[in-house]
Amino acid sequence: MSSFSRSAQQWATFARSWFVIDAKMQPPGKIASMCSIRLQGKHKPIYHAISDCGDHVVVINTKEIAFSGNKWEQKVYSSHTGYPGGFKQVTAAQLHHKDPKAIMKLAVYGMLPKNLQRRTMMQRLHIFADDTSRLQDEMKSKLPDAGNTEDFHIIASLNATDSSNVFSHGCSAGGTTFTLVVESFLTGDTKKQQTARNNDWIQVSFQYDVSGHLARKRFPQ
Amino acid sequence: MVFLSLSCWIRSRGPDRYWKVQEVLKHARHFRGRRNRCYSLAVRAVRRAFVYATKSRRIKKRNMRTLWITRIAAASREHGMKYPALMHNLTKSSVQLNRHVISDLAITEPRTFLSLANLARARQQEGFRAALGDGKEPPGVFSRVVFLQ
Repeated sequence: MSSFSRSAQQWATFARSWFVIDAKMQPPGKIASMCSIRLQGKHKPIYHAISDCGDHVVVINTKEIAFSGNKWEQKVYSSHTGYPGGFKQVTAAQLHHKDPKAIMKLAVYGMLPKNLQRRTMMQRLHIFADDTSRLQDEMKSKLPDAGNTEDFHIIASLNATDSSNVFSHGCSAGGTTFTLVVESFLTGDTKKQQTARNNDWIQVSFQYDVSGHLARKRFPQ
Repeated sequence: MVFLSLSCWIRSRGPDRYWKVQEVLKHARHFRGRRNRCYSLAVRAVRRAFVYATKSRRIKKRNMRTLWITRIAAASREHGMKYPALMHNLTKSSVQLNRHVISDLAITEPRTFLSLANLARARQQEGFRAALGDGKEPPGVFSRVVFLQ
């Protein structure tokens, strides 16, 4: 750590990371609470409400979300169009059929703090109904230095079972030769990784272990 | 009332109104609208500001403490512990660091914080063993009684 310059250290500490969460057969509320924590930046020891330290979160496979109990039929999402007689109520099953991303989005929206930064945080949340085939294009368009790069390395690990979380990591663009300095508050080790041109696409899926005594139901087909 | 000449009929009001007004306006210079210029409006705004400042000196301490707690919780979750477990086990191990210091350690001294988390985790396991186990010393540990004798 002492061998790195202050600016590099600061850059690594305040870098905005990308997390990938696989929502297959997961309860949407639990996924949403983890998303909201990372969107606000509350997983970082340097958190402050005004310092805009939230990260990007990508949720994939939201069409395979699984509510417990009878929520598919009993949970009701209400809205009002503003016109008289415009009060609409749809069950979770109907809403999921219409738009498989909506349940996740509403869940996260409700869990974020109700202030002006909520919209910004929602813009940093990327939800995909299916798997990550389109993720690479999305990330290329979202990252600022997507000039002449062909592929991306996502260095993200979100594993609830082991405690080797590296909170500060970033996306490095293959093809450019800048050095990615990754500092973990966990051990204080810094891993200096020289990015190399590499056509491998690293996809990390999140294995979330929830006690299985609740029967979880997939969306009824 | 004895006015011996015309000049004495002129009453002299307080000579230092300007400075009294400036004393109030100087605290209002960064306000919005006419409250930064006009005395009557400024007086009310300044008084309100001072009241808020007085109340906030107490609230600031509360906010700082919640911020420290949030930061410590984030750092301890990185190490697989939760905030209540960490703090409780640290106090049980008679580590008398307050939340201010622990949150600063979590930011600037990550290895120290890791060792604190490990200490708390070890104390937690010892607590579990004492509560759930059979009351015997774990193997490989000299009891204090033996050592002191």
